[in-house]
Amino acid sequence: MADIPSMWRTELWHPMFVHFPLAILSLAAVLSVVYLFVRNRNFAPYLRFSLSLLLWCGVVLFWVTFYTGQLAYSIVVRTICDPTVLKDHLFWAYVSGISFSIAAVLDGLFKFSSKFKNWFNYGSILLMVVGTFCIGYVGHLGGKVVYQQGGGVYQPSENCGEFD
Amino acid sequence: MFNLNVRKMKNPMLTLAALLIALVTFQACDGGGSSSSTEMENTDIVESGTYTGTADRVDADEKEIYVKTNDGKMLELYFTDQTQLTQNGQQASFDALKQGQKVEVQLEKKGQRLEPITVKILE
Repeated sequence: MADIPSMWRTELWHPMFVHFPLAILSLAAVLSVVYLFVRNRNFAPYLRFSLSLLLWCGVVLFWVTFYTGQLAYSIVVRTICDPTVLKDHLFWAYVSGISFSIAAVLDGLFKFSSKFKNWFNYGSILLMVVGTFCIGYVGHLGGKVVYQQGGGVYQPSENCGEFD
Repeated sequence: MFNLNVRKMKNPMLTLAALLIALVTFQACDGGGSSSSTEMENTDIVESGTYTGTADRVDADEKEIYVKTNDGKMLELYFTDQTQLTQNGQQASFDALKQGQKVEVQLEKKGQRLEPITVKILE
């Protein structure tokens, strides 16, 4: 009888991490859009600080997640029926990561530079919004890999005997 | 309500920035970074059968080869536990595969995935 596989398999580190940067970076993008319309001078710096903190934490977590994704890729690509979806998932994840990383750098420049502040500000916000659309598509492709092709998913035996 | 001192938070922000730069550098310089760029390349899907070509790239860590077939197609092949690799009629280990070698591969197309059944090193 087959054993129930461990929940600490290499390919499962990715789903353990992936939801954090998705949520954090999306929230950062939403706050960045809100920030555009905030006119209250007392409130705006705190909003900016919050979105910056979310952005930087999200970007760090993103690249950790990207690394776990590469580990999972090597395993899952050998078992799924259409690896082209996984390739697209990897490509758009890379695009999202670059987009948010540049946004983070521009955000840093916005804070510490005295020139071109508007350019850094709007550039950072634009990239966060673009990155959010990309990351949404990445999530959709990741969902296709798991829910259509069973990537990384254990298929129990027909009589579920291993769970007795 | 808003008595948070933003200046005091500069150090954690700088720490995060340093961590980010380190991570991006790691991704860019590490072997994982270069392998992810090759993984993103578009490769060709062919029907089940036997193909002859050249080992364009060999990735020992991933047990993966890219084969450029004689008709110009690029095949990305991940070895499985069932894949048999031979050289001069004998079983060979993956280390025997080198970039530029002529190979003959017998493939099975499963969905959009190409599974190498046998790989013969021809030279």
